[in-house]
Amino acid sequence: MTKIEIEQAVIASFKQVITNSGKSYDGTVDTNTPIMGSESPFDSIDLVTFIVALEQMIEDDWLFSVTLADDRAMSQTISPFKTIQTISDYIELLIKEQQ
Amino acid sequence: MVIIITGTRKGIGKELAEYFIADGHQVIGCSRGEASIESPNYEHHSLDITNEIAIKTFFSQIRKKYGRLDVLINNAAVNNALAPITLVSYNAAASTMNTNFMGSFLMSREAIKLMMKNSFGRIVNMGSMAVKYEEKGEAIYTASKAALLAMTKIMAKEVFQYGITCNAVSPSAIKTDLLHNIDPDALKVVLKRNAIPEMGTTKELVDTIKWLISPQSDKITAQNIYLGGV
Repeated sequence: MTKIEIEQAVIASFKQVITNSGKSYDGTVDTNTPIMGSESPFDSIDLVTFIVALEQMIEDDWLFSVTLADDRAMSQTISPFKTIQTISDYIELLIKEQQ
Repeated sequence: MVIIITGTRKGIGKELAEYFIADGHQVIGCSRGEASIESPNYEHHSLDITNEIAIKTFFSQIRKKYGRLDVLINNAAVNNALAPITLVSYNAAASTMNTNFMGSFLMSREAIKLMMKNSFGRIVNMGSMAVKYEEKGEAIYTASKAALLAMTKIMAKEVFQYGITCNAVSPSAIKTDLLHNIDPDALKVVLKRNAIPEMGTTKELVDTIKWLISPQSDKITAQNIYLGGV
């Protein structure tokens, strides 16, 4: 799976969480969309749901288990949980390490 | 319901598993050792609950096979540090904390992820009357159970919006391997403090858990229920 495909999968999960939570999001969902903070449409419940959905997606599509909120993620200079881009980059890193 | 119980090879965990199997539930048990229960409604995993990778793999298998989890009973516990604190080794303390607290934390964390999908879940943690009585020689075990109770209450606040409840049940002394190293006379003294000054039974534990995991108990959360009049 290419980086673009990972980003698309993450965006799809993001949209799914927004839909399931009954919220509306007027902005365009792209790699710059924030997943945390005041500019993100996510509340804490949505964020947890999103992270769990991504972990299960990785498990199903790449056949390995991962904890995205692990010690390394928490110690990154740029938090993986900042934007769709940063979480996609982190997932790509984890996948590469498994290959 | 699909129920995970830790520490099912013997003692309370085994009896709980046998009860819930007989009650028609699908029980998934785990312990460090091999299975000691045979039933079409029982699945056993030889598992170290302090091993994060093993726990992740275990839950991945449960998710793929059952697609859901309704109940987690964190029963597995050890008491490797039964001594005055000055005589407790680091490894004895660490292994007690790891199994009783960290193991339950890992199991709960992964269980919640699975329960969230169906907006339903029940987590029951096994507490202890030791937390109330603060007996000498039980500092580490008691601390591990106190930590578990604190986690139970905070976790309950975090996951209630997902339809998940978290409670603890703290039985009086029940005949298990954990009691082997405890002085019987000292135990009698402790039991005398209870409103019911006698050994507890697994049945009263089962009855309480059965109530806690029922759909009707959806508003019972963040509680620690002492049994035996502790």
